[in-house]
Amino acid sequence: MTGLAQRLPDDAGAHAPAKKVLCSFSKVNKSYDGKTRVVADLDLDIFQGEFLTLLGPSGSGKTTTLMMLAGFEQPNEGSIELDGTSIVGVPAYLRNIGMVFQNYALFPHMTVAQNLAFPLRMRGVGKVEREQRVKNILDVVRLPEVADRRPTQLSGGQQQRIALARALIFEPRLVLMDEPLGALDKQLREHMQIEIRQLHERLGITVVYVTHDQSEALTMSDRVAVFAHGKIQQIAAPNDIYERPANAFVADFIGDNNQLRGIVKGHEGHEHEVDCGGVTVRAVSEHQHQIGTEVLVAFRPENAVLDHPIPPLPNKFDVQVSEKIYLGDHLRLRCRLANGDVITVKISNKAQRGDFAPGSATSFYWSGLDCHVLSTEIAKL
Amino acid sequence: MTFLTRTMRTRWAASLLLIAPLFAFLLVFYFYPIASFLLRSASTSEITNTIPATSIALGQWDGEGLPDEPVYAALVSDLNASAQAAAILGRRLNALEPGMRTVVRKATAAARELTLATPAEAKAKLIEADEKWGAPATWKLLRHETRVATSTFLLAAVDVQRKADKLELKTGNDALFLPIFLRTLAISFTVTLICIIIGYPVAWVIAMATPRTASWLMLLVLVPFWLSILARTAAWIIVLQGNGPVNSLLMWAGLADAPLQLVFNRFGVILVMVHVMLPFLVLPLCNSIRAIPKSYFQAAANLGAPPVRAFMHVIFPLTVPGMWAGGFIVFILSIGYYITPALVGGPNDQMISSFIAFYTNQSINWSLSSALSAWLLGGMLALVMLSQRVIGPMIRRVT
Ligand SMILES: Nc1ncnc2c1ncn2[C@@H]1O[C@H](COP(=O)(O)OP(=O)(O)O)[C@@H](O)[C@H]1O
Ligand SMILES: [Mg+2]
Repeated sequence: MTGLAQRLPDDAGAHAPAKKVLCSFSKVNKSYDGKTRVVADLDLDIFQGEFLTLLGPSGSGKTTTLMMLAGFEQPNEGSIELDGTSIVGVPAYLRNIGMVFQNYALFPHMTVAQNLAFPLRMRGVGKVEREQRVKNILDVVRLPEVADRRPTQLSGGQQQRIALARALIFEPRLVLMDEPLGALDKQLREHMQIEIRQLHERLGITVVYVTHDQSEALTMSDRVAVFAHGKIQQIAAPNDIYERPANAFVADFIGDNNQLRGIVKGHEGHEHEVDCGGVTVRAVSEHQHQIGTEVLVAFRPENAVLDHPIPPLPNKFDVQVSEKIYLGDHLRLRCRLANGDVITVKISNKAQRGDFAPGSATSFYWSGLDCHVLSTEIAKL
Repeated sequence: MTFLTRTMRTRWAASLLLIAPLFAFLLVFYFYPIASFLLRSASTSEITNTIPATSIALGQWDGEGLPDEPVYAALVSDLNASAQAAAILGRRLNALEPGMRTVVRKATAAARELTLATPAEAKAKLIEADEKWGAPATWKLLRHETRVATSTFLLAAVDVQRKADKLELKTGNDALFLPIFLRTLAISFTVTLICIIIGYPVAWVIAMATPRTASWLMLLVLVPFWLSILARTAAWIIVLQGNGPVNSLLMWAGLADAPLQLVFNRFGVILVMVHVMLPFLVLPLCNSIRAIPKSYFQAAANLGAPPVRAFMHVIFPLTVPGMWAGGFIVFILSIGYYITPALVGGPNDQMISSFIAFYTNQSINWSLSSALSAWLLGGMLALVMLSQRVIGPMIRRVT
């Protein structure tokens, strides 16, 4: 069992090359009405050149965090530093931070070229250079032909790219994007995700991206900060967030997850033995949980193993199939445990063995590494 | 194909049926009265009704020299038919050619003794009564004013008169209506401009205020709407008169030695009109400021524009449509304005509507008042169309 524990990852960043912190929040509090804190005791470092995504449900304080960075809102407490100097109280127009708005906020009375030249005009860049840079940035976003059109004459995806170009043209230290793809349809959204990601890599810019779409966060980011109730629940690389959620909220919010309530019966290092209503589950955790505490055990539907494995996996669930949903490339089964708890199982269509008709009895296995012990508490205000 | 067109046709018929009552209502109660009033400006019926037989007889005259004797006989019988009609004819002709009232009166008197006279006698006696009946010009005038339609009033409304078959523009002291049209335009333009200058900051403050404050401020702007226009104007007269509070204050502060003339002049007219018109500007402007998404303000700042430059380059252009809409309403309402100039203006501050009212109510020259109205309406329609053509596209670019 000790072997399992050694395969757990090192603490995040311990061996990573030292990164330069571009921007940092420390102990930032924000309240609009003086009573409820929308952002609470926020500590956040943004590294030079990274793509950081703030992910969380609506109302969790992501936009507010971004607004404080852009200078449209001021924190009630705490400090925000950019390049080592405090930017609290610095007006937005002096911050030199680019922003892509959710509705794009392209000025309707200006042509695309005028929109793009606007930040340069405000900085006193001469006409010739302005034109050259507008031309360059239009090439970068691959829309050289729309310079003389009005924003309203562009499609949603084109407007999106122009908004992006306008946020990049003055070479800001930091680019903020608040749900920039929210208004696009699914196909275009996925296309733009790739495009934004490529731009980020090509130009080496630092991006803080806000979304409530977890798959968007996972596909695009270097790091994801999961927000809930004005606090960061977990900040880590996408695979860490997905595979090793820090608490029940993150486990629930990112992807599908089965969660069983149980009592800790024993532990050895990172490994725990949890009694979930009669079923004993072996699971790992980064923190040690006291024997007798109530915890959650989380395991992903897609990690289910069908065949009886050799050597045997520790966690075997005997279930009765109650519902079968065909989803093309995979099957989704709703299964009932002997104690009445319901779990979801996701199996590839190819690996399928038997027909899993509703009512039939079967067994599934989960590796101990795929089961996580989580505290029932999440960070709240 | 045929099926499709048939369904479309039924749909058409259905929608026509639905709008028919409204259309009929508009036709009967709106377009018909306006059209019939405007048609009066070109109508000759006021004269042809007084001398029906003469009008018909004149229709056959070739206009060379003097008309034939039967025309004289027809005039004699027309004048004898109704003394009242004869009086109206005199008044109408006098408006076109001074002195004609006497000429007609003399003819009426002579006609009374000619009931049984031959056409030749009638001609001789009428010329004897007043030599103007022997002058071709008099008959030409009569013939001109008894045709199907006349342009006399429409021309008179813009100071053009017909002299010896030539159109002539009255100038200098003779000019009557053109200066008043110009004055109307000038006053309306000034009022609109001042409304924009005063109303813009007001609309801005209201649009930016919290909803509670905004509703109170809006109330202040709208209070004048609740007061009868007469009461409001009377209040201004009290405030602005020689021994009123404004003058007292000015003199107390040493800014004036004697009471200033603040009312019954152009200043008073413009001041009171601005007060009356302000809400028409503030409301649409306020709406258009409110309609600007917050993100535009943020984007302007984010892109490096300090507040004043953000306003100039981004926000102001977006409010131009609202400003234009409000300004246009104010301008149009001002052009047709009547009460304020009548109450707080001097004789030199009366606008064209006052003259229309005068010719309608006092001088009973409906042809002229209708001609003035026609020019006013035509001018406004031209303005509306011009703004659609020229300003419309400019605004559409913005929105
Ligand atoms: N300008 C504001 N005034 C008052 N409350 C606000 C304002 N903006 C956001 N809030 C509140 O703050 C909370 C967090 O909002 P926000 O930062 O927009 O969340 P998110 O972007 O994660 O959806 C919400 O409850 C929202 O109602
Ligand atoms: Mg948001």
